Amino acid sequence: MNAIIRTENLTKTFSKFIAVNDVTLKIPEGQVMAIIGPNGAGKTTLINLLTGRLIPDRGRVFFRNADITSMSSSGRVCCGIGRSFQITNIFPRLTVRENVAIPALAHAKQTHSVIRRLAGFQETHKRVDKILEEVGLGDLANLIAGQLSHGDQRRLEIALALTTEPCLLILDEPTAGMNPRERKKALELLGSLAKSGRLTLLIIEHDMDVVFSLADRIVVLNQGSLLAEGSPDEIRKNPRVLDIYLGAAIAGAPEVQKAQLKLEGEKILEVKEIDTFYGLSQALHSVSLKVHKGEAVALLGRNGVGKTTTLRCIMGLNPPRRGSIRFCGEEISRYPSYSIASRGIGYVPDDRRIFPNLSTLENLMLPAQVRWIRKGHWTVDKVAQIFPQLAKIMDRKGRFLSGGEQKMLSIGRALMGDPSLLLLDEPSEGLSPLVLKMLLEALDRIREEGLTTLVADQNVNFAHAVADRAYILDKGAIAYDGAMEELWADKEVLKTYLAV
Amino acid sequence: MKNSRIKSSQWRWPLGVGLFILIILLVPLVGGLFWQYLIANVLLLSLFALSFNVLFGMAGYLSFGQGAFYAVGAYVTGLLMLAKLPLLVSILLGFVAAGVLALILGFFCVRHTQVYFALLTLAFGMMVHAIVWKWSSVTGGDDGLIGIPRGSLGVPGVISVQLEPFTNYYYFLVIVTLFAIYFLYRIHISPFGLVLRGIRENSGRVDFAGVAARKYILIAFIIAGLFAGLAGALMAPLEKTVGPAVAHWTKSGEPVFAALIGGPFVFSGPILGALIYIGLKEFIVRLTQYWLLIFGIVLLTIVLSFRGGILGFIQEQIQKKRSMY
Repeated sequence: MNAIIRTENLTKTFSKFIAVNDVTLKIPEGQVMAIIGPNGAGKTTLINLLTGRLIPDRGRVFFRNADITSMSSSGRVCCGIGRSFQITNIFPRLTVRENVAIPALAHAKQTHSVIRRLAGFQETHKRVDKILEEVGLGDLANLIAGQLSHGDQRRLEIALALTTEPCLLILDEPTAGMNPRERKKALELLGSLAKSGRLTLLIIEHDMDVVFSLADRIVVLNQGSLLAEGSPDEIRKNPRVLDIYLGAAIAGAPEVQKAQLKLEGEKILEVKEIDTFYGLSQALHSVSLKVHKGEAVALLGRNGVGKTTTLRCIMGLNPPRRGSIRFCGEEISRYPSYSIASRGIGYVPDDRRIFPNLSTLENLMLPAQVRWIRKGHWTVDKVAQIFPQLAKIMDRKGRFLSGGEQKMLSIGRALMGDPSLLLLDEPSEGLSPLVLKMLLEALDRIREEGLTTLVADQNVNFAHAVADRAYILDKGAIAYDGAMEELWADKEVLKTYLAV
Repeated sequence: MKNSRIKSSQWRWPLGVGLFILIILLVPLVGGLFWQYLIANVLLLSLFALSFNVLFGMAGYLSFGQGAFYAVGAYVTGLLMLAKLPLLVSILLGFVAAGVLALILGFFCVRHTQVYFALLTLAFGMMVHAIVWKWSSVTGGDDGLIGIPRGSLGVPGVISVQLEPFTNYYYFLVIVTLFAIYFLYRIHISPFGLVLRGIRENSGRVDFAGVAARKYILIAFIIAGLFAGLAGALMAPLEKTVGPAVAHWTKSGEPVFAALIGGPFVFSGPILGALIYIGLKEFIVRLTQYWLLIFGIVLLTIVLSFRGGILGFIQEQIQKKRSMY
């Protein structure tokens, strides 16, 4: 079958970080292809390279055998490559009809008209109305786009891409942040697009139901590289794909002494029925969880299910719209982040946030300079005992640290704030087995110091090695709650919520 | 909601427009030279501010250097009039010269956005000011051009209308300005205007709609330059003198204020803004020698208390009321 678009050795780096690494890919005409992979796998970067938003460092892009590597994004749209965006990207203060009129006029080559009245272009307006009917926005045509519900905005997003009459339509997480009803409607729309046979679809999606119900072929990316490609069945059975979704077994992991389950113990953190939104998009649906003193709790789930949001929510970075968060008995859900931190919650974000121009030592010393940060228990020496590797690189600037070293430093920095509860976001992400082992040992030592931890991760093996209890998040809601060992034994649950 | 402020194309007040034109045309019959001069100035600032607003209100690009095009229009027209060229030819060439300058400067400016764009236009504006100031042999330096004639209109050998009682020039200026304003209005309601509003809302997405946003910004920049130049060109025979102050950044600030006062997202906003700006200035100057201070405070109060400008604010209130029923 003919490839509608193909890439040759496509590579893109962002200041040393290799986002897309040597990807050679063919997308056959007329099929539905899905790209999956964990967070930071390079999916969106790859799409940006295909659509001209980014220019690759190396490699080429061919569209129907024509080299389009250096073509502008508007030029590619005119060739027939349409796309939607992961984060809703519409014209918020124009009406829905005006939104769609822009690509419709562009497609009809009428945007150059400076003098003729917009209202005079009857044919184009008819087409706009037809497209709006098709995606189910006909009744909302005269509303201001920014006032639509999230699901309707997502459909407008797709309508904008469809209006350019693409022969290749690229959709970046078309169902992101939708509620189940909106998701169902969107799936119907995508299904009818796929069946219409007039275009090739390339979809990035986290929701495996969507992927497996639509895709003819699946491409798996991991850390910027092509990991696997094949039919849905082949991908489901591919052991390497399972590894990146469940985490590979960690060789030589220390046998962590599991604490007794202390369900009756003192609750250090109690999250009750929180709803959290990003704009109109609801990320968490009535999430409740408890962490007891001295426990290590894992928050598991595929990417995009709300793990990071839950931690950000606890931390006050994205406060809940409804529900309560109690820390040591005190309601903290309305407090600003710094105030929550000063009460003794340490937060290690997934992107590490190391100060690139400060040395390791300076990064560690920084919290001590801030008045409201708690001090006392932890010193630089003590952190160096937990992370022996850091002691060797105290003078090195943050930007020259490896990913693993940065991760340790960011945990160490959080410890310097003397937390009684530590929130870790994706600690195992992107770490080599050796570094992972060091991290596990360090977490074990941290635990001996009496710290309580809540770890959000995708890697079940890692979570199994660290945690006593686990929650599984799915589509923004708690789907499983139980002891880690029980979950570990329950392959059915693991497969449903964590594997592809 | 802040979102309901836009959609100005629905706002047509045929009655208001007719009344506006009628008053302007009747001014010479009821008011003296002072009123004609005042209204002429309001019209010129309106045109200047509307041209600026093609970039600012429509496309979302704030330029602090529109004085450069105004000055080029004024100086070129003034020099040609002094060289005894016909009025229409001089004004046309002043208009074109400003457009050519806009093409050249725009080529560099549209590569940048937001504060970088604003500062770049400011820098280019001050460069033009420096040239006007220092190039005495042509521009007259600090003194500027003096004794610019108003000339006459007509076909050589057939008919000729002297523009020299002032009222004749007034009518000439009114007609040219109104045509120019109408042209800018047509841009506002054209597909090109919609694309500019799209760029204001989300320029990245415009590219993915299949429109090369940067090219459209450049065209908007040239249109803005052309009509700023036209305002300057009409100003030279009005004042009979052109000084380097017209190239100064404070001149570039006038359309910014006019647009912000009246409402940058409503087509007629800058016209109301120009009326208030010039009216207030005229009024406050009589009261106190510290007029600049008072003027500044009043302008700030208006800009801060009416989000989206006066017309934008009124439009929002009306829409709020409507949506309640």
